[in-house]
Amino acid sequence: MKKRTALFVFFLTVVLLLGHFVLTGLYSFQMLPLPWQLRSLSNTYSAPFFHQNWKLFAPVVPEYSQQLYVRYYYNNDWTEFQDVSEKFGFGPTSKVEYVEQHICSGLSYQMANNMYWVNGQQRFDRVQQSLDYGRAVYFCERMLRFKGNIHPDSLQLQLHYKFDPINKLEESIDVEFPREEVKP
Amino acid sequence: MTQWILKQFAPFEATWNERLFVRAVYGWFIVFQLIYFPSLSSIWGESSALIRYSAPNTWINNHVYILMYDLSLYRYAIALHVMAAFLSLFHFRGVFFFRITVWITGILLYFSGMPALNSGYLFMLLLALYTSVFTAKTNSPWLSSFSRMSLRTVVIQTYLVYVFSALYKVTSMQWLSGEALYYSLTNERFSWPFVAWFIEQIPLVLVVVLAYLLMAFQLFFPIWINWRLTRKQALWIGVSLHLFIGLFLFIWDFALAMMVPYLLFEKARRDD
Repeated sequence: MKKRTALFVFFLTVVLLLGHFVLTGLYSFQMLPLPWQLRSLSNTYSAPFFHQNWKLFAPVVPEYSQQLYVRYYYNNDWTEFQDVSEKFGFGPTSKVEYVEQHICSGLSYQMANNMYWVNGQQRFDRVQQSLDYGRAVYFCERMLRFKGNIHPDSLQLQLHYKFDPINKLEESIDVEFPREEVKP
Repeated sequence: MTQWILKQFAPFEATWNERLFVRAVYGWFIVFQLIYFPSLSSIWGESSALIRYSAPNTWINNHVYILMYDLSLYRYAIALHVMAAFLSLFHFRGVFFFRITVWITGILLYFSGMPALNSGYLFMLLLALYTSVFTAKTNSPWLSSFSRMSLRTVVIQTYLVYVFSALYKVTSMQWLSGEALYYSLTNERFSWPFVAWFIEQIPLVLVVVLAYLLMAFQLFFPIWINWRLTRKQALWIGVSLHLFIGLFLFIWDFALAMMVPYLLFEKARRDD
């Protein structure tokens, strides 16, 4: 190989890789203020093929543990609330539990931003309109149907929170969402 | 400088750890499917419990998101993915096509199972792409330079993962106060009960010190791993950290993914 060709190929590769790392770097660090043209370029380049996210355990970690519980109307009676992943034998290391936690985080976001109070009563109508809530109901209904062969008429979600603040006593709170009719 | 550049085109023969590293990259995808086999049908199967996302109607999106709209295709995609990963474990002429297949099918699987997958999966997809041009032994100037370049790209990507992750931490008040580490280790989902109990017993100042050590390790990882005085310690700390994450925080896929590039930090190569 000729020396000039080798140098050209080498520098071209370096420039391409540099461009790649700059664009994907900007994409994975979305909090950096950038001109919109550059942000748009990095987003278009990076997603979907170089999509990346390095925010595991950062920047903010939830200050509570959370679990998704479900109960359903079956054989003319409401069952007890049960952890939906645990009910079907999925332990803490399973991906189903990981999905459940993802759903819980979405519901918690909705609770913080879209739940409101009227005359001392919790109102969930805005939460119920959200995709996060729809995702949770869908998840529970599909788990019951495919893992338990259970086809309930209605179901109800409950979000179980356990707060364990530093140097303070732990506290648990259960939030019950309205009952939902399940349409086959 | 010119001599060094020309040396990149000299015949290449991978060292034992470089060969093992490339096998570990593709082996990871097989291990992932095995570890999480009981959950797979709930993520990708026709009984998937994940609600489908919507994406803008573009040519690329319509192909990347195809598994989300046709769940019956998942078993073919997984079969192709695992078969290509298995063949990618070996070093032979034409293995590039199987390695690219692992990357492409991996992207399809990622976007149809996003809520179940973490940054470990994304990291391995990048490594699968970078190492697709790796050839274990070659006299071709092109393939030799690509092989060397692919390994360096992996190393740079690993540095960036640590540095970006640290930047998210050092810009967070929760991490600077040390509380983020406390809450990570006491969260029921991410921690064994005895780890949570232990963290609650020790003085908070120790947790704060640990949080700062972790941020310093991540932020300056490229220095620790390249400085002769700290290399060995950085290797041990890094591997121990990821073993801890796998064993006690239940995130095996992420822990294993982050341990794979450590094979490249073992300095078996002397000629570059």
